[in-house]
Amino acid sequence: MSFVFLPPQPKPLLTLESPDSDYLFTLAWSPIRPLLLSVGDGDGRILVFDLLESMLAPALIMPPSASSSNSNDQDRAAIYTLSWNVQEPALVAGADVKGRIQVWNLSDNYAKLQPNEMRLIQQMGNLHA
Amino acid sequence: MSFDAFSLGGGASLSPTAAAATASASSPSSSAAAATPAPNPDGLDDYDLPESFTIPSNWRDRVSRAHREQQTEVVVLKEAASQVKVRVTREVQTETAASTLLEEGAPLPAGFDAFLSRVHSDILEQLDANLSSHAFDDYNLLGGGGGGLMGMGSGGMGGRPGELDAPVGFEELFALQHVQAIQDLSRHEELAAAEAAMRGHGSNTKKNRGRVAAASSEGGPAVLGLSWSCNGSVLAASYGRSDHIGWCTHSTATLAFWNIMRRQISSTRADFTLETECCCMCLAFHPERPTILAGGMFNGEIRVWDTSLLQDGGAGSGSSGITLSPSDAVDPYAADGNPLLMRSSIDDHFHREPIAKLQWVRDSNRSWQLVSVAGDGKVLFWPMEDVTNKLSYPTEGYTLTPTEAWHGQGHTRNRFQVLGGVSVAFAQQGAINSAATSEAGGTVATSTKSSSSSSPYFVASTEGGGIVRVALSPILKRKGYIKTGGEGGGFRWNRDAHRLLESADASSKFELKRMVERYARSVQAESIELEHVFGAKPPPHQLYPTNIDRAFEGHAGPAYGLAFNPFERRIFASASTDGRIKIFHINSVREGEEADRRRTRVGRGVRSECRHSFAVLVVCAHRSLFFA
Repeated sequence: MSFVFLPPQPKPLLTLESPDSDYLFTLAWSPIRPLLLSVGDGDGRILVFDLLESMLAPALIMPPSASSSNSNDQDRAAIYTLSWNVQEPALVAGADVKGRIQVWNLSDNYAKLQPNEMRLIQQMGNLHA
Repeated sequence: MSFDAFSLGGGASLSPTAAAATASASSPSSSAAAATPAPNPDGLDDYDLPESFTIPSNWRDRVSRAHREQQTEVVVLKEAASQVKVRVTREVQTETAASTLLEEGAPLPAGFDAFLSRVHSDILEQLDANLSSHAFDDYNLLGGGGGGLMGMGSGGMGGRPGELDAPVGFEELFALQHVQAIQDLSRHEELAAAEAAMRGHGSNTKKNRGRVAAASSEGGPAVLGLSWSCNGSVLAASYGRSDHIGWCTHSTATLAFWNIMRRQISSTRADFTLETECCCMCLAFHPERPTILAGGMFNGEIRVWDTSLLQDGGAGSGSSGITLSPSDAVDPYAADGNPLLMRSSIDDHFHREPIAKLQWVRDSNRSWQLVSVAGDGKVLFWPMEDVTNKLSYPTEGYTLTPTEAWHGQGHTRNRFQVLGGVSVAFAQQGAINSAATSEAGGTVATSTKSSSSSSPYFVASTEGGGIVRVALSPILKRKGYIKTGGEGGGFRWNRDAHRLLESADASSKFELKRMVERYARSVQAESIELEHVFGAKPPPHQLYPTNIDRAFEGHAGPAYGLAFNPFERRIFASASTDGRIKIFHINSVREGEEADRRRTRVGRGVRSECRHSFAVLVVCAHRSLFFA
């Protein structure tokens, strides 16, 4: 193994952290809200970040499947894959490594375009011409 | 003063001036005065006449002057104010109104019965309408959280049992698990364990024992891929094992489909299923065709299914709204009774490692292509609407390799290393809906023309946690066949074959071309098609260029999640096993290196002079950057 000098690389605009710095396996943007994104973590939770609301903490933390929440920690099953329903943008599905699939229904403020949101994301886009 | 003397001079000319009077005695008036004593002429002699006499002038001998001053007396100021002392307030109020309530037993006013009978039906109707009205469903008194329930689903709002009506903003609609698939996978594992036990302590059981041990401890039957159909009614999940060691021997992997528009959904049994003999690692529904599903297998195959054929054979269909669109003659997804429409083969030029991600992307002609990325570091583009291709050959491909400029270490002839891809993202993504797609496609197309900074690219994440931007090769607009010159008369090249070769690394392009033409000649081909390019077996990393034009600050672990913002195509986010989500701008530069970036772009521009295509792609790879 050779250690090589790594040239500087462009930095992100923003870095979010999962509350427990847990593993994240999947990411998906909301199909309807430009500033909403969801990730699945190693404990079977789905975290929804609403950048309009907070750039620090997830707006929603959806708990793992009921069958795993009352068992011990070793039974925790990571969310491997996430998918938003493009026709019903309130619906997001996640599936874990135990083969359980959860379909979540988000409330309207997470499933409808919020005022100012489009302008903010465009401002982000215009940061580098 | 002199002025006075002068002006009076004329009037006083009869009078001798003081000077004249004193100066001479010969003036006439003096003579007359002197002659006055003349009556005594004989006394003249003894009259002692003075020699001269002086008449003093009385003209202005004394100037009186006065100086006076005057001043008024001291002015006395006075101020006075007056105010009314008494204030008066008056109020007026009407008299107390008389009660209009009828006393019990009092006679009803005339017309009251008629009024009641006239309005009571209207009132009842409105009250009934209130009961079923949704007018205030969305109304949120407190401004945050909460919200309306969607019409579907039966659970109440609230994340955890016990939190009553907490406005958490989400509810679990369904918890689904296809028990059969999990049992099948587990049974397979048990069989493998039994088989290993029967073989006893043979020399080759080490591997098997390792596999069994891994299965019992962690991993197990998992959902590896999940996708909603484009009409939002069907959810597909691929069941497989997450703990592969070596080959995938799970001959009982299952794809499970739920139709959530059904009235009754079984949480333990899928509506319909599909068996595969190899674990399917990722799924992607076609963005416009609700029944077309693509899956990437563990062994490196890509398969495309038509799920409508499964559903017909399954337990009932209908309400789903899934219908195969009328298949015209050129429908590239036309099925002949077999749900498996297409499958790619496994080869050095295709994928030999598990497909990490599949993505539907439009090409410049707005027809759909499938992009696959795998741990072998290849990103391949498969045309999906070419009826003759059907996943036989990719028409475009890139290799993810470290670059000198961005990774500090390029590859040499002796040492060729790749970055295993774990995900890929295109700025122009699958259709959100048809309007959004055309809009997005249009924007990208125009922006590519307007500025060089938005040359088409994609982003990929790698196994080592890196995130790289890969520029797409220019699209040659020509159609049909292209005649090229060359030794031995030249060949007619199929457009796709020509483009594939044109996009290859400049250093090896001619070598590749010679190789392909030699092969075509040996098989006596009339024109060079894609099959001849691959038949010549060129080195894959020469056929597929690297084209990495930027590497972003990576993660400490592979970024399995990578996606462009569907609304702002210059923003993408990555999520990694290091627990971080990073949101990047596609044009982000190194700190203080704007000029360097421009120079780099010019330098690359020489290699492929125009990069006109339509999409942007980001790739993540997870193999370590610095190992061969």
